[in-house]
Amino acid sequence: MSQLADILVVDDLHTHYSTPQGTARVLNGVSLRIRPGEVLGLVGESGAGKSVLARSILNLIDPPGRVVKGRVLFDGQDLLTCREPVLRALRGNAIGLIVPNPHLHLNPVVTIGEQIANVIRAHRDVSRHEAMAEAVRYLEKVGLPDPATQARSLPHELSGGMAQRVIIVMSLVNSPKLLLADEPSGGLDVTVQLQILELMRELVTGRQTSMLLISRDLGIVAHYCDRVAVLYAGQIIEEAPVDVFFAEARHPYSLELLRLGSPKHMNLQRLGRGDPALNPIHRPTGCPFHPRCLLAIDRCKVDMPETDVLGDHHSVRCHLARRSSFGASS
Amino acid sequence: MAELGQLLRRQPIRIIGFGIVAIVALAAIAAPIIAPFDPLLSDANNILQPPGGSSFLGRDSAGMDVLSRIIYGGRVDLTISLVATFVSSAIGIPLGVLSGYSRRWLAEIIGRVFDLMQSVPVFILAMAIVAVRGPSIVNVIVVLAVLNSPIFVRLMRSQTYALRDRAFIEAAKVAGFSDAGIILRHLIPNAIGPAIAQMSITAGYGILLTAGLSFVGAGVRPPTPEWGGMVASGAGYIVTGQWWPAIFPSLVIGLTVVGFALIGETLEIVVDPRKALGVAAG
Amino acid sequence: MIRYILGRVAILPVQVLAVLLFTFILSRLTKQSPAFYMAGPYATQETLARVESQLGLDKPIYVQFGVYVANVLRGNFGVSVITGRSTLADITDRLPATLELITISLVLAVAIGLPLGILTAFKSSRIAGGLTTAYGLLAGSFPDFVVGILAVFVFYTTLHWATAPVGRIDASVIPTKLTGSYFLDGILTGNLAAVQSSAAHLVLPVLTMLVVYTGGIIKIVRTSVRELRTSEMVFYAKACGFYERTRLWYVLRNALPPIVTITGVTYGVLIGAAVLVETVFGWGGVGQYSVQAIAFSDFPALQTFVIFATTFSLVVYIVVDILQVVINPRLRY
Repeated sequence: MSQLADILVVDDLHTHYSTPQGTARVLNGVSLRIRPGEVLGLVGESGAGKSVLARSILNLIDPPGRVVKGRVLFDGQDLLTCREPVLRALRGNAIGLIVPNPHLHLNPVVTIGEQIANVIRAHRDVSRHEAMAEAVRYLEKVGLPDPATQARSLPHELSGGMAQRVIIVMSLVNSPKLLLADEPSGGLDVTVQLQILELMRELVTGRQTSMLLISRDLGIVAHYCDRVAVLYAGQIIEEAPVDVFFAEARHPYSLELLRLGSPKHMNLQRLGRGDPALNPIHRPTGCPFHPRCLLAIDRCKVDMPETDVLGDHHSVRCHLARRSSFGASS
Repeated sequence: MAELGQLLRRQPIRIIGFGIVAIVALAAIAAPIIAPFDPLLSDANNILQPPGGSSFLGRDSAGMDVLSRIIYGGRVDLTISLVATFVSSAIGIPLGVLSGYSRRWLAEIIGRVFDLMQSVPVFILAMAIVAVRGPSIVNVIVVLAVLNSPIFVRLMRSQTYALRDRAFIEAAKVAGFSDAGIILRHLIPNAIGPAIAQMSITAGYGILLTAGLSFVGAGVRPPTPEWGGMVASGAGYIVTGQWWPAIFPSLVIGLTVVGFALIGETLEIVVDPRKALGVAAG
Repeated sequence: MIRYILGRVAILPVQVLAVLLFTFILSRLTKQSPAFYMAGPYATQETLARVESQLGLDKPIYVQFGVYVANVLRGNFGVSVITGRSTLADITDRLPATLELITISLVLAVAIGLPLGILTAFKSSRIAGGLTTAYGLLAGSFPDFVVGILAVFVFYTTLHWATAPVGRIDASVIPTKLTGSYFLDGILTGNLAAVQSSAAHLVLPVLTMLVVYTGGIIKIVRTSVRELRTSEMVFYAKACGFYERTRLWYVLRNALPPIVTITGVTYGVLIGAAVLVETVFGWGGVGQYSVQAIAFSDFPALQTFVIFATTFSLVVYIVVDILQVVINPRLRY
């Protein structure tokens, strides 16, 4: 119950994709809020819909995908009903996006300095010269050696870590109020991952930048976020401040994650493979987790659990949330 | 095969390609039964007779019936094209797979040679070879077979190249399968798809080449009925208004090639469903 | 990069040598002895004997090849059985006509195909897509000589719009000779009659080429642009708030390599198409020359044509490769 208005409110978001096999309900009623200056971590397995969520927020879902229901309020404005010029002005400006696989997202024939300058000049009226100079300054800030020369290199000349830093610069260069960081360290070496995350933390603290940090790794979320939200089968099944989550998670899925340490590990197990809930076309009835849930009761197979607020900014979607005899593992 | 059936059921219009080729092929096979006249029989009294009456598509400058010659011509064109395509792929596919799989210098050489073959105008080479060796059906088949093989080599080479480092190949190696065994049982079944689609396209291209070669006199010689040759001998009469000896075979050539192209495209989608987006999305 | 360019160019002599080997082998497969063709139809027995020893026909095959190559380097490509002149002279006389035809065709094919390809990549209406696909299918399925003949039939015989499909210019008009292209020379020297007449004669052959070969260009342009428009690169550009103009520039700049390739490939294919189209329209270029050579078993002429046409194609591909390295920096490493 903060005094300041939430910078981002996602309200009952449903995003569907049409496929030859049927309609994939990738996001099935996602709701979350982020306060100014807050870092919300979003964890989920591959296929849970994390990237789709980031793209839905920016209203960048292209056919065969479609946002069929819901609202995305940024600073009070519903991005899903805005006109394109308004959206264009917000993207890369007030809202920044970091993506994984940087080489996939950079223009292979344009120098990185110029690409950063392009982001600057898309939103501010500065000369090319000034924009390039600012790009070089940022490259230095993120730790690229010899930034002036690097600014003239092409993406394929950079390592994964360096290219990811370029993406980070591009997302931050216009001082966004909200940063959507979709697996910012995904696909990188463990050591590089840490560097990137530390770098991001440095860059956003003190600026009151809010961040949605999307990750498959619970450890990262624990370290860098204020609150955690767990995405499963297109829904947020639990949400809590970080320490509360780690001490008192309620949802059986959250407990599995905590036990295994990271959704990444879950993918390798039989549990992850062929998980019926993760088929977005044919979601199970009732609670999506019930086929995998060790505690499922009859009701779980039929009724979709509503969001249950357990107090202290902690909410869960589970019929058994208020059970008394079940505590979180220590 | 199952996917082909599914695709045809979803987009029945694709059956047109198969239909065209089937009709042409059946007509060619049944030629002695369905052709109204002997294709080599020239009726000197009815030179350049317009379409109609007994001669459904008219007669050419030698008095021979156009329709019958088209039907019999199908035998020549289809045979040449299909045999050449088959031999082409029989040469090209193994060489391509070998070239893509082997890591020795021999693979590079094979690749380079065939790349060179692809950078020169196929038609001109074909023309020259057949002219020197003498125009005959066999020569045309041989030349087309050789000149069309680079595309199969290239195709299989890149397919093999992409697959050879994949996990299931590694697994087979670890399990002790010999290279030859791996190629036959694991690689080829997975890589062959595009080659099959290409075969149809090459068959259509073969007809174009055959017709072109005959047109310039470096292919099948008259009076053997062959579509390109018919166009050649009928071409001069178009300016004087007798269009049928040249136009009908022209249309048949185009139609048949379209048929093969449609089949090829359908097969391409069966092999790689992602390509479907290009067509359906318009 | 310079090193790559030099490397590519250095390969050319090797490739040409391979071509010469090919034509050499061909020449030894003919029915008459090669000396017959070298000496010409009017040679006496003595001349024939002399040429035979010159060619080293009694020596081992590789020596013969050496003699052959040496002759080529000296400009001795043999004598035409039909014209009695050096085939080299025959070819160089007729080459401008062919180059005029195929170059104009290529330029127009790109000038039409590029914008059409881009447009149809954007308008995702089913009609546009269906039409383009249908056109590509049909246009590539009818041989060029068929299209040429149909063009003559429709525009000349039936509609009487086009001029007679014979030759490059009316007999009454005197063209000026600079580059060898009557059309171009007419423009350059202000010879309006020549411009008009040669243009009128160019219409149908060029139209034929365009109908058959623009489709390929449209298809590649369309596919490349479409793929890029839905690429992750463009997605991120949108996510960074780029204007549509910038995104379009990103797309086109990245679509350039395949477009350059298809243009080069088409140019190489056109020299083969020229054989057929020139024959239909009596164009008087090297293509028609080669067909006459076949008809009269004029093997030296045919060989020389093959050497020139193939070398042309090889040079085009080298230029394409070099351009690729220039526009696609990733290839430089």
